[in-house]
Amino acid sequence: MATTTNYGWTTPDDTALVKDGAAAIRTLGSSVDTTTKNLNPSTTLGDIEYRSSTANTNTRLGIGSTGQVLTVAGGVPTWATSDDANAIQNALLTTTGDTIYASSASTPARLGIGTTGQVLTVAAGIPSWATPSAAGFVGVRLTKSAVQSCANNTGVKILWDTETYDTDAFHSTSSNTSRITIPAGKAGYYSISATGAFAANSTGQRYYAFYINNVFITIFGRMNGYSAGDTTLCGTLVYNLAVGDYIEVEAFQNSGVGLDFQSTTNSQFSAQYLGA
Amino acid sequence: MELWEQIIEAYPEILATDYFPDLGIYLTDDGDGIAYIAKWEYSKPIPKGLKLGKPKG
Repeated sequence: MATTTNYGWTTPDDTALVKDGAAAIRTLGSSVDTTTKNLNPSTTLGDIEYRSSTANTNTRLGIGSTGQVLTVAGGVPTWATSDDANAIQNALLTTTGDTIYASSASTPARLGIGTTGQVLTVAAGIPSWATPSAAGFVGVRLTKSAVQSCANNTGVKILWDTETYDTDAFHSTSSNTSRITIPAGKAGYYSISATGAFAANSTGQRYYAFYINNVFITIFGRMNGYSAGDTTLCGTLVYNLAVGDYIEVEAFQNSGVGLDFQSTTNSQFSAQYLGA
Repeated sequence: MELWEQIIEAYPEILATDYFPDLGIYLTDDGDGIAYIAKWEYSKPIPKGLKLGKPKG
């Protein structure tokens, strides 16, 4: 007996003697009916079918309820209630440029757009817009308004009572006036320079030295005294300094007598922040 | 009498115009006008009546 190609329905052979045609038609019709029903098991408005694990047999999936979404569970489609409450809501974004971040675990929050030129940064553990600090000059320059007597053969820390500029409170004119102290947020490399002038005297030598945290770092400008004018010393140093570190300069002379360290424009002490 | 003068009084072989650091004598003034012996490496001991370090008070 012949069968159809796709569903194997039984049909009479072309050459067979059809002696029981009605039965053959009923058999074929019954097969068609069964197959059709297997492929279309829907019974209710909105039903859909999906392929079951049995060939040529679909499974009916009844329509879900309002708001449900089609999803997959256990390898087959199913209707499920959508979880919109846990989705990021459109209403969170109110303004052009808004961004979303987690203010805590599983908690979205809105970050309104910053203003022109601001940059995204982190403050207190969350993102925020901030105006970048100006890449302007950072440093200090000090001078003296009065001479300072330097005893013979004694290294004297030079005091500075005048600030030509002081961008970040590196120096105080009332306490520890010999010091340039690195303020909070300004640790890093500094270009330090100092010039100093001793009153005219040709006997002995003069030097200038840098100290950091009262520890000798380097000497510069050791030279013989000069009688026709001030003996002027100068030096520079690049050094990596931490917050709270302080720099001082020490002047020394061995003329055999006390000698004034001058207050002229030739005596100055400065530091310029180069970067972290 | 200043500190450096007390030292050369105790050790007359040291001249006022000698370069004290080359002799191992380091005198310091923190800017307050008070000189003290910061380091002493001279071949003889610190003169009587003098001490290493800045006087307290």
